[in-house]
Amino acid sequence: MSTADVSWGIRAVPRKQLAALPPAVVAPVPDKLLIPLQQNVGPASVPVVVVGEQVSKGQLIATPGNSLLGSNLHASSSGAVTAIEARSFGGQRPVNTIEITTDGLDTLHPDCRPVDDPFSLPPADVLLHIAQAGVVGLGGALFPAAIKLNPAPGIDTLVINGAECEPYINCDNQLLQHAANSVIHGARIMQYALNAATVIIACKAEMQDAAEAIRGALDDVADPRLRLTIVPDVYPAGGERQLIEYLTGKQVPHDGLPADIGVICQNVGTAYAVHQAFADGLPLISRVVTLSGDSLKQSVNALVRIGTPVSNLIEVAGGYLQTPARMIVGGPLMGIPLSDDNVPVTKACNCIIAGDAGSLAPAGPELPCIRCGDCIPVCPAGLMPNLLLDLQKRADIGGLEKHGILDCIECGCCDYVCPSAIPLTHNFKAAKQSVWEQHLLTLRSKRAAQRFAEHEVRITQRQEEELTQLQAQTSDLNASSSKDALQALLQRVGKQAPDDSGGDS
Amino acid sequence: MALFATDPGPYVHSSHNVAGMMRTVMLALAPAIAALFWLFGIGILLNCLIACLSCWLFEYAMLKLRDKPLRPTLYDGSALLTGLLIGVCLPPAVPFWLPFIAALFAVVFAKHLYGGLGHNLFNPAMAGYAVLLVSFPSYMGYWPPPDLSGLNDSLLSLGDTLALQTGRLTPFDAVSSATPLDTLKTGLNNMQMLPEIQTGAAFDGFGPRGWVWVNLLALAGGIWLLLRGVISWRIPVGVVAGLGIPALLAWLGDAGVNPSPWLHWVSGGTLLGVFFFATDPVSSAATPRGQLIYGAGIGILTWVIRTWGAYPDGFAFAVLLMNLAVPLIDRYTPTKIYGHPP
Repeated sequence: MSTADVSWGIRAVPRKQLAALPPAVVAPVPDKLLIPLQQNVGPASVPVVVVGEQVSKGQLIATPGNSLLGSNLHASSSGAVTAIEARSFGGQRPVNTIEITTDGLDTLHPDCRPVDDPFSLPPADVLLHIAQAGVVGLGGALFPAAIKLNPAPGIDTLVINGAECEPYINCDNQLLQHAANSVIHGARIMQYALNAATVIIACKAEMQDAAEAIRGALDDVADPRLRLTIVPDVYPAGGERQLIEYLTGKQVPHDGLPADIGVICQNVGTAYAVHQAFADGLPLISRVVTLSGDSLKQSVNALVRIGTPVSNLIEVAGGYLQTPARMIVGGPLMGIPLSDDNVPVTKACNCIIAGDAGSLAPAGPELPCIRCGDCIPVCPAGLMPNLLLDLQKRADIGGLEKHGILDCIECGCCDYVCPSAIPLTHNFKAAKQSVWEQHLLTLRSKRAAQRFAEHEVRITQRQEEELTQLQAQTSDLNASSSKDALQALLQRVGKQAPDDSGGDS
Repeated sequence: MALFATDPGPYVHSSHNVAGMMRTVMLALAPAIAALFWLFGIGILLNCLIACLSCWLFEYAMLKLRDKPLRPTLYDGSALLTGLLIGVCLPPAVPFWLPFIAALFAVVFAKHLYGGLGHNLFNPAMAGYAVLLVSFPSYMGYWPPPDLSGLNDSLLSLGDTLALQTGRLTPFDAVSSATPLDTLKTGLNNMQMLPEIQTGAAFDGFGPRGWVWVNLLALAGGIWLLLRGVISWRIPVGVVAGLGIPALLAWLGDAGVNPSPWLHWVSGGTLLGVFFFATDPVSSAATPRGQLIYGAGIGILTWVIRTWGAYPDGFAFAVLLMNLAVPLIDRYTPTKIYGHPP
């Protein structure tokens, strides 16, 4: 299949992916594992262990509780739970965290048993097993995989996203090169659970060795329902909505999900985690993390236990060459800056970049927008960043929404090309926030208005009831003051009522 | 525990920046300026020099007056570029205060009174030039016949140029000759046919004598700008098509009185305008479809003014008129947002 081009995105991003990558280095078990309880979208998980409890590798330590969107968390090595408390990492806001002091034995929990033939299980049981293994979307979204794999019926395509596109990051490339068979196995299990007609594995044109490995794995499987598609070397080709449009020609509705057009997209790492859950019986307790950047001696991909502090990983990359100016989790375009390296690796962490001030630099001093419009054709969401910036400066919430601020995927392409060094994405994150706040306000005022209206109705009703009652009483009184009441009274005292027509008055 | 900077990303950026863009545009303009210098003598360079110095001076004064930081805008080259663009518009032997006045209008009125870099409605250089065009039309016709020999014997000497520029010498007939577009307009008004007009001294086998080379070198600079990604192809293509298509239709209709598209493209400063005036980012349309419409509008208006207007060349007015339409164009040519109904 030829690689058609796309009109959006940026091409000349420095630091292209290395073609052939060595096998992942297995990171050592740290003394302390720090497992934050917020490792999924939705509410944080609830611990099911207590301080002092001995845990073994793969043991369930937190569950979603009552939440539908939660995920299970497991101990990534054996040891003792030494703390469950709120901790702040890398300057981020504090999250409840389970601290496990490892014993170095790495004893596996007896519940971690392989499933012999997932394809003989009912699909619902496959999903249950995926949910129990705590598998979430490893592309960064952290959406619980089992929920994503359980949409309304009518899914025809499962996309396995290997088109990672930010500079530096190559953990998916690495996984595909060295574990393509496992990724395909995981993909087939998900396909079985979804009953999807087609599986498309997507990787980028520059990932030639990965593509070769996938082709080999697909040949082994010999299932015509699975195929490989090469996508162009454009950032952000691996964005879920962009990738789906490229592969299927269909756009995901702005207010909908890929499932609405019959597509489910899962990351390569997620497919591998699903494979592990069945083939090895291992829940999601480790992932491949790219360690890179000018301040590290080497760039490596490491197989890291969830909860390992980044400071422990630096040794894996040969240590610091010099004190980094910046440390980023994720890529240099969308990544989050860390204030220090005492941050645990979570399920979302695909890459750690430690760079000097030259290689990882924020934009220079901001100049006025010169309306060059360079930001428009690069936007993968089809937005007009120059207009959005103007609307944000004027605090025009309605205009921001009308021109699609909520469709911004925060990829940073507009920042990348802006000759005036305007921090557009940073502004747009704030703009989105204000639109959401406005929504909330509108919702609240609507509720207040409704409450008031209903209150008015109730008051009117009550008044009407009182009025009817009063009228009834009055008419009773009127009536009773006339002959009926008199008759009743007279009956009680045993006399006849005077005849109306009679006249001895 | 190390401590790292946590300012927001992205942390990688393209090498594009405003100052770099301005420098690149100035470099791309160099071949056309060289051609003008070759054909019309030292006066062109003196005009550029005066205009650049005045623009920079006015930029400095306005930044001071408006209490704005000097550093980013004074050194980004935008004022110098405005000066150069004024310089290439002016005939070689005009009084020195003409480029000065153009610079005043460009920088003070068109740029800073609208809010400075990024906020001007009109292309500053074009506005400055238009002021001269309507206020001092006689001076604006002081184009000497181009000298293609390279011997420079018919060109004004530095001394004569300076004398003319300072008013010590009054212009004599040899100084000015009708430009090809003037010749065309006058000839056609005098009921002449194009083939007759083109046998005159203002034309040669390539088209308008001398001006062809200015335009082709501007085209070379423009193509370089396109390759460098400094300008998009949409506006230049829009202008060339907007001017070329009506010209072609009219020429096919009656080649005797309607100049060919080629003649339109290489006359006056058309291609200079296409790549260096129409593409000014601030005053041109920003949306992709809007840029095509904006460019086409400039082309069509230029053709209309050249064909029916009082001025032999209408490029400057076409640009200014389309500058006015930019907010409207941008408003009605939004992009299609992903996942929204068309």
